Formats: sequence, C-alpha cells, structure tokens
Amino acid sequence: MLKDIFRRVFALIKKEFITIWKDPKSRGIIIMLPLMQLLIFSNAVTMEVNNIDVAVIDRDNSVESRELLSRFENSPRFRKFYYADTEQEFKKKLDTQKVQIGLYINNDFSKNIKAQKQTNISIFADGRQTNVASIASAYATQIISGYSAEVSQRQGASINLVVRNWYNPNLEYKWYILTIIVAMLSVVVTLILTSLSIARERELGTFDQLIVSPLSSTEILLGKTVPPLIIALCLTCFMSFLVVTFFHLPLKGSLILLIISIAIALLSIVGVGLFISSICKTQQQAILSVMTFMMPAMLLSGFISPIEDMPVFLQYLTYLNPVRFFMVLTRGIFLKGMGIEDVIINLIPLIIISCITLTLASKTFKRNLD
Amino acid sequence: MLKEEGDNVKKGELVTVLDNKDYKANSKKARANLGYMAQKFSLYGSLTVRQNLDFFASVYGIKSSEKEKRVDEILEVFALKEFENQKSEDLPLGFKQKLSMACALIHNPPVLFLDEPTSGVDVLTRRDFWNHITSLAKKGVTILVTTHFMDEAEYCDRISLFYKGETIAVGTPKELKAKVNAKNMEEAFITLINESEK
Repeated sequence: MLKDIFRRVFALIKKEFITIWKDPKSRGIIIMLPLMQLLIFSNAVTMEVNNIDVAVIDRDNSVESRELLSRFENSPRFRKFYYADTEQEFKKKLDTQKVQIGLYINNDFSKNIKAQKQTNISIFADGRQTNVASIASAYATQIISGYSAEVSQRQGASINLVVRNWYNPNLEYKWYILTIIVAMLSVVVTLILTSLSIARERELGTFDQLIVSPLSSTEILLGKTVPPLIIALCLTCFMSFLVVTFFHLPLKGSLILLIISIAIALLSIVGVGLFISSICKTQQQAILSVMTFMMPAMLLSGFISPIEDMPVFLQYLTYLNPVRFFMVLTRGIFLKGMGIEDVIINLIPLIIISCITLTLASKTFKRNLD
Repeated sequence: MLKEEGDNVKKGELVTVLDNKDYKANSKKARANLGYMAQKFSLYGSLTVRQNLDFFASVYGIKSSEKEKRVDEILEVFALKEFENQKSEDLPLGFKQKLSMACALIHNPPVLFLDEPTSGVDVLTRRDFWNHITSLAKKGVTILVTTHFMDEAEYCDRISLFYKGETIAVGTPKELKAKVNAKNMEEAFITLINESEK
C-alpha cells in the first residue's frame, strides 16, 4: 500500500522535474533570472547616496572656511565642487540639478569663530529628490559638526560623539541588500514555478488526466510540492554560497540553521504558490495573481520600511506574510548570527502558514476530484 | 462531450459497469479500473512517448519490474516503437491520438472511456482505431465511446443518443433503425432528433 503510494508520487515527481527542465522558459526562470538579478541588484539597488555634487559660495575665503571645505573635498561621499561667484550661478546649479546640495558660507564666518561667537553656514538641499536631499544634508551636517566640535574643543572640554554600527560595522549597505535579495529572488522563483504548475496542467488538459487516475489529492499535492521545493532550496543555497564567496558577506550564524530556515520558509512560499495555482484556470491568471500577492508581500516584509513604523493594523497584517519571516531569518542568521530560540520563534509562523496554504490547495483540487 | 455528460455517466452506468461497487466510496479503486482518453490531446508534451507511457504506467500502479515489458508491448501494438524517444508534442495528430489511447490502455483497464477518439484524424488511422476498439471489446473490455460520426455509431453494441444534454433514445443500432424505419444510422438520428423536437 505504502509502496504503491510511493511509486505514484515518485512518478509524479520525476515527471515534474522532466517538464520543468525540458521547458526552456522554466529553465531560464530557475537559472538565468536569479543569477543575473543577484549580480545586477546587488550592485544597483542601494539606498546609499554617493557621488554628491556640491555648489559652494565662499564669501569669507579665510583659512577657517577653506579648512572646512577641504573636509568636504576629502569625504568619499562628495564628488564635484562648483565654486560659484554669484548667487545666480549658485541658484542655477541647484535649479538644473547639476548639484544635489549647495553650501553658503557668509563673510563673517572666520571673524565669528575667532570672536568665539555663534556662526551660521547654510546648506541648500534639492527638495525635489527628498531622499537624496536628506541624506546629503545629513552627511554635510556630520562634517560641519565635526569641524565645529574641533573648533570649540580648543576652548576646553566637550563631548565627543562616537558612533559604532553593530552587525555591519562599516555600514556596508551591500550586506544588508544582499541578504534581502537572496530571499526575494528565491521567493519570486518559487512562486512562479509553483503557481504555473497546476494552472499549466489545467490549461493543457493534463490535469483532467491526473484527476481520472488513481492519484489522490494528497499524492498530487506531494508530487507538486517536492520538485519546486528542491529546486528552490538548491538555488537559494547556491545564491548564498555566491554571496559569501564573491561578496564576502559574513555568515555569522550556523549554516544548518540557515538551510533549515530556508527550507521551511520556501515550503510556505510553495504553499502560497500552489494555492494560487489551484484556484486559477490559466497560466495568465496565475501570473497576475502572483503579482497581486508579491507587491504587498514585499512592501509589508520590512524590506522597504521597518515594520515597527507601519500603522498598527498593517503590523498585524504582516504576521500573515511569509516573506516577512523569511527576510528576518536570512538577515538575522547572516548578519547577527541569530540563535536557535529566535530562529524557532520565526519558524513557527512559517510552519503554520505552510500548513494552512497547503491544506487549502489540496482542498481546492479535492473539490475538483469529486 | 464526455466531460459534459460526465455526471450522468458517473452516477448512472458506471455503477452497474463496475460490478455495483459504490463509485463514491471506492473512487480510488474505481479510477484504477478506468482508462480515459480525452478529446483534446492531454498528455505531457515535453515528455517523450516512452516517458509518457512510463508515467501513466507508474501512476496506475504497474510494478517497476513489469513496467518496461508492458510499455514495450503497448508501443508494439500501436506501432509507436520508432517514435518512442520523440517529444510527444512534436508527433502528428494521428500519432498523438494513438499515444493517448496507448496511455489509457497501459494498465489493461476493464472499462475504457474514449472521448471523440477519432475527431480530426485521417481515414486510415480512424480504421486502425476502430480495429483496436472492436478487438478490445471482444476481449471483454467495456468501452464507452462518444462520437459525432454516424457511421462509427454503427459499430457499437448499444447507443445512447444525446440531444441538448439529454438522452433521447437508447438501443442497439438495429433497434434504433427499426424504430423509425431508417436505412442507416444518420437517417435514424435525424428522424429521432426531429421527433424529440416536437
């Protein structure tokens, strides 16, 4: 009896692998798409602001003002400096978006410093690019306050602020983005593979053929779950390997924990994909439904904005989102060396989500069976 | 066609066909005793002919030790041996239909459903098909064929005439023809349909 079940499921799994592999499109989806995106995104998707161009008016032209400006010039964040003579020129640079920020130093700058009085420097940021403006002016503020601290130190004690960034000491933005991208790409691949699988069979009529066969709905579900899970797991492990070897991302946590969490997280994604597939009649419907799922799932995963910043009801909604836990796990295990208790806390919701979605999927085709 | 009438067929005739086993309670067992060939080609296009047969053999519970022999046998019967390693989506229509029937017969089912098996195939293949069907029937396989070719209906033992989703006449070809005094089946059907319209 058990042997019969095994034989049937094994035949189904073998068939799934052959169909996925023989189809050039799905081969592209599982190999080319993730690897290319990994390379491109890891280099392009960044929220750092570098290469800031600055327009400067230095009305003071003193030793002090030049010292401050040389600090800007030596910062790796800033690229080009345009020294403007007139306000019009200065304004025009900002207007035409030639520069992202402007610095205006008044002619009483050095005089005030020497007299130990308050003095002002104006930073003009381009508010049309809100993100760049705030980050660039934050850099500028950092440099200026550093200078100011030094100037005031000459007159006695002061507090020195030392910032230290844990888990990512050099604030390598790439580290953060890489852990997310690995998770994101495996989510995308898994969803596409699974959502198409049943819908394709239904479109081609082969699903009827399965329904009239002695395969039970659980066996069909098993045969449909295992191949994409194995493929996605291999792919994610391979991407993690690339990320560690080529991008020198440190793997702080345990490798076994990482693999277990990836496997369970992917199982929940497979569940979502199969559920979508079981309710769709055509592949087109399936792809559209995947997109409808993906957008909110990504936005509510804590990748773009921290979950703690979301409105309360959205925060509760994120508990339904497997992508959220997946991202917490990859990021936590890679960068923080997340311990086993924390991993388990994040795995429980994933297990619950997998159970629910897989049961729903099998219920949906059971309805078709009878 | 068969799918539309599926409900009637399942609940009605099948129960008697399968030795009065309750179909619902034993649905898995019942399905294992069925061969089904869909109207539209519905095998796995990216699998080869042999892989398709292998797959259905395993799904219908043929043991791996007997599988190869059985697949070879059926390839022989349907003259598909030379195509065994070809992708099934690349086969010409007639061969696709043959392969569908081969897959439906791989487990020697006592009951066979053929949903318009001969629609769109050439005359020779059609004759081939009917040779297979009649020889199977002689071996004691219960075969349910749907067709819109009236000459094909003539080969059957018992005909149920569907019109607008309802059975309007049941009987052997002889009985049906005698009922309305028709020379051939086509004439008989037209008269029967016209009568039911009234």
